[in-house]
Amino acid sequence: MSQADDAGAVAIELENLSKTFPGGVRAVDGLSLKVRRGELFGFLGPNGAGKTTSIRMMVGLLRPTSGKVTIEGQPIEKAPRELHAKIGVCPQDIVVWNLLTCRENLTMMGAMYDVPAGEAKKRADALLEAMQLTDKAGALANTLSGGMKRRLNVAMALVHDPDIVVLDEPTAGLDPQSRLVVTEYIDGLRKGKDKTIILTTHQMDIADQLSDRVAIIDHGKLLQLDTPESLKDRIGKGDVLDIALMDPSKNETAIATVKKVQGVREATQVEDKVEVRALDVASKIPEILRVLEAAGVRVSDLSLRRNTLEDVFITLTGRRLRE
Amino acid sequence: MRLLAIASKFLKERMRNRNVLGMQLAFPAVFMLVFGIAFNLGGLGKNQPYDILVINEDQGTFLDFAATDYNYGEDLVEVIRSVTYENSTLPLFKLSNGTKEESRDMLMDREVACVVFIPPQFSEAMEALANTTVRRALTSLVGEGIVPPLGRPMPVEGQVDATVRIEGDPGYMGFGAAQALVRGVLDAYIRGVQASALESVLKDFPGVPVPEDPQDHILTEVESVSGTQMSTAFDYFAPGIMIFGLLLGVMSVAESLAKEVEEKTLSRLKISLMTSFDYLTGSLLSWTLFGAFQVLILFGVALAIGFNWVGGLGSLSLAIVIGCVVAISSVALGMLIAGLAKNQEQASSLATLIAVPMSFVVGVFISYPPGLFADMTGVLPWRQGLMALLKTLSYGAEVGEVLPNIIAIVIETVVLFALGLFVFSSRKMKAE
Repeated sequence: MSQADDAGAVAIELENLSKTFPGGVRAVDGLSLKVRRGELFGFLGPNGAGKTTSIRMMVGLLRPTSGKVTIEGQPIEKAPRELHAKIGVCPQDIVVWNLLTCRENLTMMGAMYDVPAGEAKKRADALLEAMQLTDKAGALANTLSGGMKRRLNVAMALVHDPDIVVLDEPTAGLDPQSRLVVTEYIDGLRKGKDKTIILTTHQMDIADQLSDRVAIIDHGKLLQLDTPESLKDRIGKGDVLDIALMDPSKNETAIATVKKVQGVREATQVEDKVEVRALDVASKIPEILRVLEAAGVRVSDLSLRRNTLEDVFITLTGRRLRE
Repeated sequence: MRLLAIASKFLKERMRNRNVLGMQLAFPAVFMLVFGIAFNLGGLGKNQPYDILVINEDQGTFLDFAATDYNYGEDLVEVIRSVTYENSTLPLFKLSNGTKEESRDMLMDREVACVVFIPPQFSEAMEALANTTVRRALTSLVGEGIVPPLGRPMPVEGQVDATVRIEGDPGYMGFGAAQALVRGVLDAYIRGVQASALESVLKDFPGVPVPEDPQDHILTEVESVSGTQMSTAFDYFAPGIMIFGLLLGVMSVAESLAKEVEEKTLSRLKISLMTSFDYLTGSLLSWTLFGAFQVLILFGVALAIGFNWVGGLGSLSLAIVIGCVVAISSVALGMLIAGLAKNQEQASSLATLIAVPMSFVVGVFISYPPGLFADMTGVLPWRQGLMALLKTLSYGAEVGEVLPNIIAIVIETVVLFALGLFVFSSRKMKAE
C-alpha cells in the first residue's frame, strides 16, 4: 500500500463489493478499490460491466449483497447524514424536475442540502453560467434540449459544493460544444477545487484526458487499476511509431531489422512507411534507430502516436468499449 | 426549509401542469354539475301532471241567498283535479292521497311537488268575498244610501278572511311550477265565483263593473317546508359528491409520488439530507393546499347550481374545514398507495381500485341504514367526513355536534399518514 492509500487519504473504499440482483444476475463481483482524496478516478467499462451498480452502492442508493463501502472511513450505511452531504451525484439518466425552471432545479437541490436560500441562488447562477445555461435560468427544464438538460443534470450534483463528486456518464450523448463545456468544468473542479471526482464514461479520450487513475471493470470485476499512462505503457498493442526511410525500397529490410528489437510487437509497411508498434515505444526509439543504422537503412522522418485506453481495453476484454 | 422547498416544488409542478390541473379540478366540478343538473332539472322536457296533495279542511258554510250548505273547498279541489293543459286533455295536476300528517314526508320524498292547504273557514271567506263583490259593485254604481231592488237583502261585506297555504320546497324546480299553477287556478276560481255572484246583479244593473281588487278575503301564502327550508335531493347528495371529489385526490397523489420514484428524481432526494418526513410532510402540505382549493371549487360549483345549505356562513366555513381535513386523509391514502405500488401505472390502477369502491362504501352514492356495516365504515375518515358535512350543511349542526366526527377524521388521518409514512419510507426511501 502506498502512502497515498493511508486511511486519511482515502475518500471512498470498496471492499470485496458484490451485488447479485433477483434472478441471479451478478452485476458486481468482489470489487475492491480505493478512491484517493482529491483525485479524479476514471471508471471504465462497457455497458453492463457494473459501473452504475457500483456507483449506486457507493452513494448508498443500492444495498450490496456482500462487501462494504466506506466513505472517509465510515461504512456508508452508518455514515451520518452530514457525510452524505459531502457527496454529489450526477446520475447516468437525466434526472431533473421538468416542470421546474433550471434555477429552481438547482435551488431545490440546494435546499435539500440545507444551503441557505441566498447562497443557493448565488451558486445556482454561478453553475448556470459555468454550464452556459444562464439564458435558460428561467426556462422550464422540459423546454431544454437534451444537451442542455444533461448540463443541468451535472450542475444539480454540484450546487451544494460537495467534496466528492460522482459523475456517471456526464457527457453521454452530448454534442461537441456541450461536451467541451462539461469536460472543461470537470477539469476545473479537479484542478482548482481539490474535489474527489469519480467519473464513469464510455469516452476513452475523456477518461484519458481527465483521469488521475483509471479502473477498468468488466462483468463486475476489476481488471486493471492504474494511471492512464501506466496502463497505456503496459497493456495493449502499444504506441505506434511511423518511420519514413530515405529509400523506401529498403522498407522490407527495415521491417525485418526492427522486429528483432526487444519489445517490438509488430512492424508492417503502411503505404510507403514502416509502422512499428510497441509498448512505451518512445523508450525504444534510440535502439530502433541504432539497429536500422547498423543495417544500412537511413531514416528521413519519425512520428509517434501513443497507445490509447481503447487499445488497453480491447486487450483486456477482447472487445471494444462501446460494444 | 427542506419541507417547504418540497411543498413549493409540488405546488409549482401541479400548477404548471395545466392539463392535469384542469382535469383534477374540473372532473369533480363537472361531476357536481352533472349531478346538480340531473337532480334539479329531472323531469323537465315534456308536459306532465304535477303530483300535488290538497288538504281540504274547509268546514263549509250556509249560503243565505241559496238557503243551502255549501263547501267551496270541495269545489276548488274538483276544479284543481279537472283543470288541464291548454288545448289538451292532459290534467295539470295529479292529486295524491295523503293526510296532513303525511304531507311533510311526501314533500321530503318528492312524492308531491307541493301541498295545498285549504283552511277551515275557506267557504266562509268565499261567501264573504261573493257578498263583498256584489255590495261593492252595486254601491259603486248607485251609492251606499240607495237600496237596490235585489229582491233580497243587500249583501253585507264579510269580515272573514282565509289563507290558502301552499307548502313546498322552493329549491325544487317542480315546486316552483306547481305552486304557480295552483295559484293561477285559485285566482281563476275566485274570479269565477265573483262572476257568478255578480250574475244576478248584472241582470238588473247591466254594466256593473267587477271590482278592481275583489280578493281581499282569500289570501295565498307560499311557505318553505319548516326545518328543511330550501333543501333538495341534490343538497343531500352534494356533500357526498364533495367527498367523492376528495377521494379522487387519492389517485393524483399516488400517481404523483409514484412518478417521482419512476423518474428517479426521488433517488436524487434520497441521497440528500432530506428525510422521509420532510418529503411526505412537504407533499402533504402542498396537496392539502390543493385539496382546500378543490373544496372551494366544489362548493363554488355546488352553490352556483343551486346548492342550499342550512346554517349560514358559519356552517359553510365549518364544512370547508371538514373538507380540508378529509383532503388530508386522501393525501395520506395516496402516499400509502404510492408506497405499495411498483410504478406510476400500478399506482394509478391501485388508487382507482381503492378510491372508487371506497366512495360507495362510505356512502357517497348509497345511504346506509344504521347498523353494523354503517358503524364499520365509520373507521374511514371519508365516512366521518360525509356524516360531518351532512350534519353541518343539511341540518345546520354546529361545531360541537360535529366535533366527534372531526376528531375521528383527525385520528384516522394521523393513523393513515403514519402508515403511509412507514410504508413509503421503508419501501421507497431506503437503499434498494
